[in-house]
Amino acid sequence: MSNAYLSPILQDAQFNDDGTFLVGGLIWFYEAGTSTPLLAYTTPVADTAWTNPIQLDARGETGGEIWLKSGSSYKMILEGPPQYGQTHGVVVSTFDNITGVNDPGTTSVQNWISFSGTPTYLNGTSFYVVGDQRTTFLTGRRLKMNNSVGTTYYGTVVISSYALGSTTIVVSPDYGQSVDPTINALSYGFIETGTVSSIPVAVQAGSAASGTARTMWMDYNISSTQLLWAYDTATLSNFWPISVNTAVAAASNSFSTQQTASQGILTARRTGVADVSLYNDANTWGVIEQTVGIGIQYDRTTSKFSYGGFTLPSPATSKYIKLPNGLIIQFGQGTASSAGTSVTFATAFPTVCASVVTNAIVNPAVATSVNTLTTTGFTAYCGSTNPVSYIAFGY
Amino acid sequence: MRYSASKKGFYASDIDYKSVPEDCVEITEDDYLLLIDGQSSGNEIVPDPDKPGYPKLIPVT
Repeated sequence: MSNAYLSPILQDAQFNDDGTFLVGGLIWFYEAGTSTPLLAYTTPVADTAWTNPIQLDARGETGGEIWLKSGSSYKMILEGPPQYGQTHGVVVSTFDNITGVNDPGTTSVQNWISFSGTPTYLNGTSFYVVGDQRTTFLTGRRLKMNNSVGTTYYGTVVISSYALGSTTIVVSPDYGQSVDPTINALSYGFIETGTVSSIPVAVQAGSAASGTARTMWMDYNISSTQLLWAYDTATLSNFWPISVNTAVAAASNSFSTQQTASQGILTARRTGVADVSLYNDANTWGVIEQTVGIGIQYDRTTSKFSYGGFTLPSPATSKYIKLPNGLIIQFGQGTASSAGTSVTFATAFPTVCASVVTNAIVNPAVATSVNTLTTTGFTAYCGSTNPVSYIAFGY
Repeated sequence: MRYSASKKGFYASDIDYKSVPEDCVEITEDDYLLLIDGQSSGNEIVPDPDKPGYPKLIPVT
């Protein structure tokens, strides 16, 4: 991109009314619509400014090229030669709102191309236009529609078909919108779709600050309307599976989402490490470690947090619960006897078992007691051999 | 799951232990569940004299 663009006017010789050269004439440069001087340049890189004004030579020419600064709009005034001692001459012509030729700073590309025909409403997702317009309304092309009160709404062409002199266009309206019964004007996106599209098939993921820029691909399953994954074409292993409206994916190193009518679940998985899920439904949200079933949950109906196991897997891995503050609760069953029977905890307490409570399960008439309490278990006593259940607290 | 015969205890992998006994051996999750379930139904978990370092179930008399 250049700094300056060629002026479309006043590049050639200028003349007096009688056809002779306008020798000594002046060209003044101002900001458009004002009398604020604005420099013009002799080169496209805008490194050398013209004098303001330029005084025309013996051939009525500037003796060079006039380049206008990019993004600027000029007013140019052509004057005759000034009288002795005067700055300005008689104004010959005034040109306002002049910009450099093809200056991208002052020209804009229109997103939408107005369709010359008139659309006729069919239903909330379709309309028709006269003639065979299938090459315009390509599948996937964006549409901008107006109704009789000037409301604008948008959609995407699903398919267009031609029969009996008119083209029926089925539209997928943008979320929350539909084809209006009073549709009366139509524009389509300037980007074509399909094999003739100017959209690159691969989208470059920017230029890497360090390392190598990579090309990302995305796979979309049309039949199931699922975005499957995005992946790096250079190292096909670096892909990010995305699974929507399906059961949690089984792949390692994945993120997956699950959506039901009332519940959304985001699960992160890493090889060798259990799933961690973030979930919410109508009344609760929480984060849960899937294998042990421990997590934290918030109930918005009571505005209270709770933690613990919410979906305890079965059977024995559920017999200890880690709380976030380090406390471990264990429970299970063993046997008590008169000579004492060892009961082994489901897992050892890292530091100490603070307390164990036992109770005979079947026999209501017997008392049980605990001895030899260690981090890994205890000895259960009873006057007779009885099954016992226990609860143990520790950390 | 790990088992230590000297401490007569299990050491789960998802609990943070500053250290575990040196004689810890790895046992499968299935074996672990069998042992825990066996303890719930009238057995005792004790070190196995025939397979040193590993646990076994013996009925409580």
